[in-house]
Amino acid sequence: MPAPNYPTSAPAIPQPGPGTYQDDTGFNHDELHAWAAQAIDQISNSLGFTGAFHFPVKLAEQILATTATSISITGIPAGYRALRFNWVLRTDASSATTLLVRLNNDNGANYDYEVGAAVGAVASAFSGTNQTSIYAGECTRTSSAANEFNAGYLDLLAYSRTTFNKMLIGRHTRDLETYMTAANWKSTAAINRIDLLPSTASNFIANSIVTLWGMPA
Amino acid sequence: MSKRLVIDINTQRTYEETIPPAEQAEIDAMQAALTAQRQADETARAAIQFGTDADNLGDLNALGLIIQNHRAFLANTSPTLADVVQQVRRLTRAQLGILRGRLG
Repeated sequence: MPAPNYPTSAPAIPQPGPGTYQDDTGFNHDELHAWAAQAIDQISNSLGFTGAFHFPVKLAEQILATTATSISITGIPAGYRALRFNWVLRTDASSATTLLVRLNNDNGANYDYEVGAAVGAVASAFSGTNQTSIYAGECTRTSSAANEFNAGYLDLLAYSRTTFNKMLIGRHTRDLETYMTAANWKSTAAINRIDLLPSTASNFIANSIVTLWGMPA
Repeated sequence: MSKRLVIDINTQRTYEETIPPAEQAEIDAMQAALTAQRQADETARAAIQFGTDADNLGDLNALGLIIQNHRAFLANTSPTLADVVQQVRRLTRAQLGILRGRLG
């Protein structure tokens, strides 16, 4: 590896201006991200790596302070290769409840999914065709053990391409249960919104966490 | 009123909003349909597991009697091997035949 060639100066910090991420203080997050990427490139090059590092960018995160009947992440920007949507949550449902995912608030029968599940020692598979949401897995609820939460994720690949229908793949867990979901949203629209909701009239409880990551190009 | 938590990346704001009535009605309908589907699935699974067709009803009734006649045994949450042997000895030949058939 060649001797490090540290940069002698950092790129200029961008001034506030109009942009997709401009917040209500006038600060332009687009330009900040671009500046950060440029700085990381310089550092990585100085260490002898060619090309850039590509770190996931946390686009949104929320720890629920109180209950919510559903969670929406809106305004998802198009500038990433893929998204990863994480959750750690529990519901206050009194009966068996499934975790459902919707895209772009599309409530039409436009989702197909295939699920491989293992519950205890029993493996099973099932699918849904022309459903109105994606099956992500079974939720923890009032009858679950204390402090037991679900954890899971969905990867949304080529989410902003308008050539393909959208394929998603992910995992979801509950104590002694695991679910592997592959889903097809039969739309070529770029994904700009994700909704998470339970299959019965219930709430996600406080301290549930959702996070959306962008995977840079 | 159902509250939805909205995390808006564009504005970097998080807020609660009441779900519009039309959308809430659609969600209610979907949840009701999914609950009904789940119940139907569970009923179907139970039918497969225990059998509810006419041919099986006689066996099921007999098994029901076995269980009914041995509640004391069933209430014993940690039976010893001797308890189990004694319990099996109490079964009639016909009951044993049914169990053998059921257990394959």
